Amino acid sequence: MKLSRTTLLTAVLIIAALAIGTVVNSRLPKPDDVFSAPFVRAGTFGLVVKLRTGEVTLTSLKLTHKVSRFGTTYDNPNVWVVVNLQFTPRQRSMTLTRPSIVAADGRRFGGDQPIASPCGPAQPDFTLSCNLILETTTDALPGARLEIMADPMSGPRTPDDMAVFALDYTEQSTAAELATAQTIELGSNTEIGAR
Amino acid sequence: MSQQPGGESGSGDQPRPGDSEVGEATPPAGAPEFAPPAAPPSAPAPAAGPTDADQAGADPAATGTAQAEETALEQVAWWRALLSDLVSVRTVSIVVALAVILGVGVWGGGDSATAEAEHRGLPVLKADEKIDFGPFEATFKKALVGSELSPIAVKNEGVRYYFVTAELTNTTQEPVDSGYFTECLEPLLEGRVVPFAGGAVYKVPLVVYRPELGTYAAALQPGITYQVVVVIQQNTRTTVSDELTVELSGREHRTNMVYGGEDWMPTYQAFGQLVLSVEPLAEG
Repeated sequence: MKLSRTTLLTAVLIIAALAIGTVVNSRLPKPDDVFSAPFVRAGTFGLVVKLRTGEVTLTSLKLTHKVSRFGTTYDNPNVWVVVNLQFTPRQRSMTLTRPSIVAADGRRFGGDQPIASPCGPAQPDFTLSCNLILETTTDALPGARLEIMADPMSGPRTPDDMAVFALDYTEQSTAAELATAQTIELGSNTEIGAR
Repeated sequence: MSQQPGGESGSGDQPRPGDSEVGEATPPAGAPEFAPPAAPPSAPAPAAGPTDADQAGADPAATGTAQAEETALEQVAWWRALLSDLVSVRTVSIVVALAVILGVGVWGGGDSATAEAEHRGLPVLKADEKIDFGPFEATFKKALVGSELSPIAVKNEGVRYYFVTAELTNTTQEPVDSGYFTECLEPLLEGRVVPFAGGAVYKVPLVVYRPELGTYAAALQPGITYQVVVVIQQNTRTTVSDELTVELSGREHRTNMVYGGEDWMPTYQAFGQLVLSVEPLAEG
């Protein structure tokens, strides 16, 4: 059988269309990605972020190598990030989930920390002020963001509310803050009033 | 006097004692064919009756040689008659099996941990080798034994501690709990059940500590190499081991069928045995 020029051209076009379709399909979000994506609530320092389970206000964030608690100092060659925030649960008593720091390159820092610092349990409509601690590295801070899930059982791949704060650190600002950092006393959580 | 034994009852193709060059003795009727051991020099010679040579009045020297040969052959025949009903394929197999069992009993249990690991086909890993566990890379340094190490191990009556030092790196992009690491370690150590509070006994899980902080290691952050100490507890009723063997298994990233999502799940398959010599912990 002799192939005509039209037949060959059609075959080439079909193969090209399939190749393009494969590339496009690989770049589209998958159903699982959409189902498991959290609902991002962008936050700003000092302003309330409303989540499904309550309200979070990020009041300060400091870097240091040394933290102190109950008279014991913990000197870390890595970096302690001390996050002060206020948490007001809605409807039920709960402990705020531990925050995570996500580096610009995608590395995620968080989970259980060597020094326990739970924010809670806070009572409904009562605001608790907490110092939370996170271990990270100097190179993870430039361009990093802080993430707080609405529920301790939720993770970064759970379709639940997630407060996200851009940290605005650069290499220079990170180094400058660490160079002058003092020992930070973690203290206890304090209830600062009812809503 | 020569005669081909078993000419009718033999097995045909098999070599027969009667095929030998020197001479043959007549086996007892019905005796199995085999090559009997030589009779010991002190073995009693069976009584011999008059021979053909004596009756014929032959040369005395030749007669003496023939008598000696005949005596030897009769000794062989005597031994053969004695053992013929004992030596068989079945008997030899039983003796060999008993020898193997006896050998394993005498020497098998005394092998070192290294030999045991080689016996199981697991590679033996030593100190200062970088070992991949999936989410972690670990380089074990040394093992120390002692009764306390403040603040991570307090003195406890009836408990002895092994402290395994290591460099541990989380090679993933996310925090991974140090408990995932201890689940990869199975010390092959007697007396893991130790006295616990209230008179109870308990097999205490391994715990990873960070000596620089004096705390439990908790989650290990991505890319950070930690100096850690793995603490293993042992009952003091057992003797101190001078060599610590830990069976190693890894973790793999796959779907968690219980909680859903992806996680670093245990493989439950040992890939090697870590063998460290144990040194006493310096007091104070």
